[in-house]
Formats: sequence, C-alpha cells, structure tokens
Amino acid sequence: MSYSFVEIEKQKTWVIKSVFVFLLAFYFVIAEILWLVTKAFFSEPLASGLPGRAPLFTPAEALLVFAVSLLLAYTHWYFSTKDMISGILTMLDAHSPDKKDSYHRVFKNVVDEVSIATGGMHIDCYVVPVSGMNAFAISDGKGASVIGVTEGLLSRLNRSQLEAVVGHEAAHIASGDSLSTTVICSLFGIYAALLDVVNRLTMKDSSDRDDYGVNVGARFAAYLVIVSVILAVVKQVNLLLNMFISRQREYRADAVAVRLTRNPIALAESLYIISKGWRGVGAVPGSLAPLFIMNTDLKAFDESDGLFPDLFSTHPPVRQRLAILLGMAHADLAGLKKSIRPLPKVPADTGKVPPEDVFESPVKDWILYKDNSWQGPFTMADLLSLGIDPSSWISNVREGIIKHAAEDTAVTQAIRDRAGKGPAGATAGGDCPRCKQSLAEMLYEGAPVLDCGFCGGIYAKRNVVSRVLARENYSFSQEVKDMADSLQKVMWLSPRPNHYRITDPLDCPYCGKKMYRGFFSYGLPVEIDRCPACDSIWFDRNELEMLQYLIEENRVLEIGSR
Amino acid sequence: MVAVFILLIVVIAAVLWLIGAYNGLVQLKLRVTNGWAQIDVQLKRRHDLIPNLVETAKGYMKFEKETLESVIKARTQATQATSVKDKEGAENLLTGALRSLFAVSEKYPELKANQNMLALQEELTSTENKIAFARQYYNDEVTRYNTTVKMFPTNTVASMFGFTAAEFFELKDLAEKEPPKVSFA
Repeated sequence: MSYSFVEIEKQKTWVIKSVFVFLLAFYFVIAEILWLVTKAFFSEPLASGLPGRAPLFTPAEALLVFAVSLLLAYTHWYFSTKDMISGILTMLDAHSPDKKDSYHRVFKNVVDEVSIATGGMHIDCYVVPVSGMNAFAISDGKGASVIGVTEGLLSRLNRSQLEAVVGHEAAHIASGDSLSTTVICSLFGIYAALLDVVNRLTMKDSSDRDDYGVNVGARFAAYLVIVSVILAVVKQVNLLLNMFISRQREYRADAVAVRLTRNPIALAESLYIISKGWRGVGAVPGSLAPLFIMNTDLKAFDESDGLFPDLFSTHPPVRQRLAILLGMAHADLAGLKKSIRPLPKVPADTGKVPPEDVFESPVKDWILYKDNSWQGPFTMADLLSLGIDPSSWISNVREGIIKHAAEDTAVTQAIRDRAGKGPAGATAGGDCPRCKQSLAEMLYEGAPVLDCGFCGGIYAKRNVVSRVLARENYSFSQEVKDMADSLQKVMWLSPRPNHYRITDPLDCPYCGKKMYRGFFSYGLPVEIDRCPACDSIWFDRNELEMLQYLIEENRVLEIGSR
Repeated sequence: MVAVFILLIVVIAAVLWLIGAYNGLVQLKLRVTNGWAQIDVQLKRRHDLIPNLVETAKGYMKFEKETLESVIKARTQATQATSVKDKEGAENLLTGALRSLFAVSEKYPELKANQNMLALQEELTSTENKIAFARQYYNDEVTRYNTTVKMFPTNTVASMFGFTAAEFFELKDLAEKEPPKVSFA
C-alpha cells in the first residue's frame, strides 16, 4: 500500500532485459543451426564422408555466430522498439478522440480523472472505430503512455464502468507491465509488417506480369514457402514469449484499478459486459492480443486453469476475475447480472454542437450606448439580452473602437445565432444536395455530422458514420422500424444488384462531384449516396436511422445467441 | 580506544538516520503540498464552469431565480475561502446548491436536451470526479505523512524541525442521493 505509482514503474525493467536475452538466444540458436547446416554441406570433411575428426564448431566460430546474432537481435530490437506507440496505434487503426464528439469528450475526461487518481501520470487517449468492446494500454520506455478503447466500449458502458476499465489500463501503465507487453508485441509487429510487405510486393508483381504465367506460378510457390516459414516462426516465438506476459498481471491490474476508483462492482460489471459481447478489434494480428483487457478472441484456453495455460495464456479466466472483484464488494454474480441495466435511450434527433468556448467564463468587455449613455461592461450574452440590433452603437473595451453592432463579426454572428439562422458550423460544409440550403454541423448520436435542417438529410465522413453505427443511444420511431424491416424483407425475396444507374445522381456537398447511389452493404439494404473522393456518405431523411436500426437488430441477435 | 570507536560509529549512524528521516519527511510533505495544489486547480475549474452553467440555465429556468442565485452565492463564498477547513465548508455548500439546481432542471426537458447544457454538465461531472480523485490522492498522502510525523521515532525528528500534521480534506459527493429541497413558498 505504501508504494507510489511512480516508484514501481522503475522496478520492471528486468522483464524487458530478459526478453532481450531471449531474443538473443533465439537468434543465436537459429544462426548456429544455419551455420552448421552450411558447414555440413560445403566443408571438406563432409565431402569425404562423415564429419569425422573436425569438431562441429570451434570457439572462434561460435564467437562469430554470437556476434552475428547479437547484431541481428539488436537490429530487430532497435527497429521494433524505435517507434512502438505509433506503430501499434497504426496497426490498430486508432485515432485521437474528436473534440466535438460527446462520447469522445467523456472518454478524454475519464482518462484525465483517472490520471489524477494516480497522482498526475500523463496519459494520452485513443479510440479504435470498431463496434467490438475492448480496451488496451501501451507505453514506451520514454514515459509516453496511451490508453485506447473501442467505439463499441464507449457506447455500451456507463460512466463508472468506463472509469473502471480505464483504471485497469492505467494500472497496467503505472505498474510498468504495459511496457514489457508493448515491447513484446512490437517485436512481433515487425514480423507482421514484414509479412505485409511481402504480401504487397508479391501481389503487385503478379498482377504486373500477368502474361508470364510460369513466372507467376514459381513466384507464388516460393512466396507460399517463405510465408509459411515466417508464420511458423512467428507462431512459435509468440507462444514462447507469452511466458513473459504473466496472467497474474491482469489480476494485479484489476486490484490496482479498484484501489484507484474504489468501485469493484463497476469493474465487475464492465468485465461481465465485455465478456458477453463481441470483443473483436478489427483485423488485429493475434500477437497484439496481450495488450487488451480481454483476449480479442474467445478461447477455451484462456478460460482454463492449470500449469500449461498459466504459462502460455496471457489472460486469466473471466469468471475468476469476476469472483475476486465480487468478493471485494461482498456481492454475487446473480446480483451483478440483475444490476446491469441497458443504457437509457432517447429518440433520434440532432442537436447543436456546443461552441469551443462553452467552458470558458464569459468576459465582460462590451459596452453599449443605450438611453443616451454608455453602459457596461457586459458579456456578449448580456449584450444580446439587452436587446441590441445591428444599428446599436457598441464598443469592445479591449479594442476601444466605437462601431455599429453590424460592423463587428463576433456580434453579428451572435445576433444571427440567437435568431436561429445559420448556426456556428454552417460554413463548415457545402449545401444540401437536395434542397441547396447550407448544411449545419450538428451532433447526431454524439458525433458531429452535417445536417440539412429542411429535408433532414445527413452528410458525414465514413469514420464518423462508423462511430454512429457503433452507438445505440437512440430509439427509433415505428415508421422507421417498419420501413427498415420491409426493406430487408424485399431484399430477401428478390435480391437486386447493388450498383445501378440512376438518372440524376446527387452532387457531393464537399467536392461537388457526382455521388454513387447503392446499398450500404448487401446485408443492410439501405440505399445511400457515397462520394468516393471525400470518403463520405449522404443519407436522405431516415436512411441513417434505418441503417442503425437494422445493425442494432442484428447485434442483439448475435449476443443473445451466445 | 574501542569504546571511542564504537561511540563514533553510533554517532555517525544516528546522524545518517537523522538525515534520512528528515529527507523522508520533506518528501512526504512535498507530496501533500502537491496533492493539495491538484485539488486547488480542480476547485478553481469548478468555480469557472458555474457562471456558464447558470448562464445557460437562465434562459430556460425563468422561474427558478432563487435556485440560480443560491448557486451564484455559494460559488462566490467558495472562491473567497482560503484555509482547508473554510474551503471544505464552502465547497459542501456549493455542492448542495448545485445538487438542487440539477434536481430542478429535471423539470425542464428543453434545458436537459440542450447540447451546451449537456456539455457543461459533463464537464462539471468530470471536474467533480477529478476533485474526488485529487482528494483521495491528497488524503492518502496526508495519512502517510501524518503517520510518519506522529510515529516513534520519526516524531522526534518531526517536532525538532517543526513538521506538523496536515489536515484531511472531506467533501460531499455531488451524485449522493438526497431528496431535493423544494419550497412552495
């Protein structure tokens, strides 16, 4: 109890060192075997029969092999730990939180809160835009650390549950075990990256030289051999290196998280919810799984006890983690299940994006000429409530220039906002492709989208759409549900081709190019307009809601059937 | 000769222990100060947010003048408090006033749906949590420091160099369930 979080951070370096020694030993064995094989094939004694008198290797040779393997291990180490955090974040496709997005703001706040509980450790936060539920922590030796969560986790946990999960991840960072996990995962990252490069090169080559049939075949065979060898190596080393990643660290992190947030029930609830849901994190290489709060695949191996799983599994059984946490709170599983309630829903609607300065105290720096005298100083809000119009004489005490209200851009904007015309974000995007009115930036399911106040259409970037589709805060009208159900029914009865020509394609509000109309996907037969150039989607009224409704229906089926 | 030697060793050991104990106390005290600074930062943040909250609520809650005024009054008091004990009282008063403001705001669905209000409420909740965590950290550090100050033998060093026990900081929780005070006067 008497340790500070900064102190224990330094005690974990031995794990890192032993990982390096392991890597060195690994390369030494490989290089030695290669050397022996080479020698066996090309040296003199073998040509005349058995190895015979000559020793297998001399000390000098062993030293040489050692030097080579040291060089290899160091190079591998250097390149894979050079830029660990950004490398892993790229692999996971994680992004910094969007300041305007209300879910992301909550996440950022929660991370800040937990960082205060640790005594002021600096933690960056990232979001992975997938609907599975999971969270991870990474840190490098230079003191930078990152906590990341998936969009699905943000949308399906309440505030205290999210806090518990972030507390768990902060515990990994504070105790230093996320550093060793990050190093180990980065060591594999290089294999994954290598595989990727080989993949890309081979793909490109074979398509470039399509006419050299034989060449392609030969290359493909060679490629298969190389890939399978690399894969086999990665798999074995992966399994061995997992020995360094103890299962115990998850129990420890749970315990420290409880110490930080003083809320074992919230952590138990979130673990239960995550374990019942889909925890995939997109196309993540399996070797990154140790980073996460729960293994990205559901494996029987993780859920079993015994020496072998204890050694090689990176995550302890969920039921044991739950049992420990529930023991702390004197609660039981039945009670926990009962206490978990689905988050409340609100009818689908858009709301104005809060201005950037919403948290700053209003400054009283305006004076107004009214009733034959200068009055003030006032805040901007006061100024408006005093009933000014564009011809009122005003002055900002900081500028000291007397002018009409209409001459000041900030005041004009404020008057316009009050009148309900052209909200702040109106200039951000172009015009509605249907009614040619300017689009306004609004929050839809907490995500900033461009909305047409007249026809109810919504224009959003694809990554924003994926955020919206991961969330379930909105409830939908019967009309929307019926339309969506009938769309799906019609699709089942008579499947139609996806892309077809329409006589009048809409213009993209961003770039003005023609958009393509088609299904969102075959499973979700809602027709939408996409602009491939801007990577954005235009939804006519109700289309986004129908899509959300259909996705949510499918998701309920998936979790319920497990 | 041997006796002198032993005495010398004992004296050196005592001096070394004294230095260690003193430095330990200084370190602990610094942590306490640091913890308090963190609380202060968050309290200030809380005070900064309240005028905006009241400003946003004003437009919708025309008939709740009293509630809004009591929040403003409590905030003014809280900003003027200086000592740990004073702050404790003033902040608890402010928490009470905010709690009744949020309870009353339930009656105004338009206000509840206002994105500015939601953002401010989220920011205030976050600040409350930060205060709670900063307080938790501070109180933990105060416990460690006070234990060292009061426990033998370090208490002798503490009294020698004038280290006195630090005060705990107790605060009510905003989320604590309490029936809102509704007056029909």
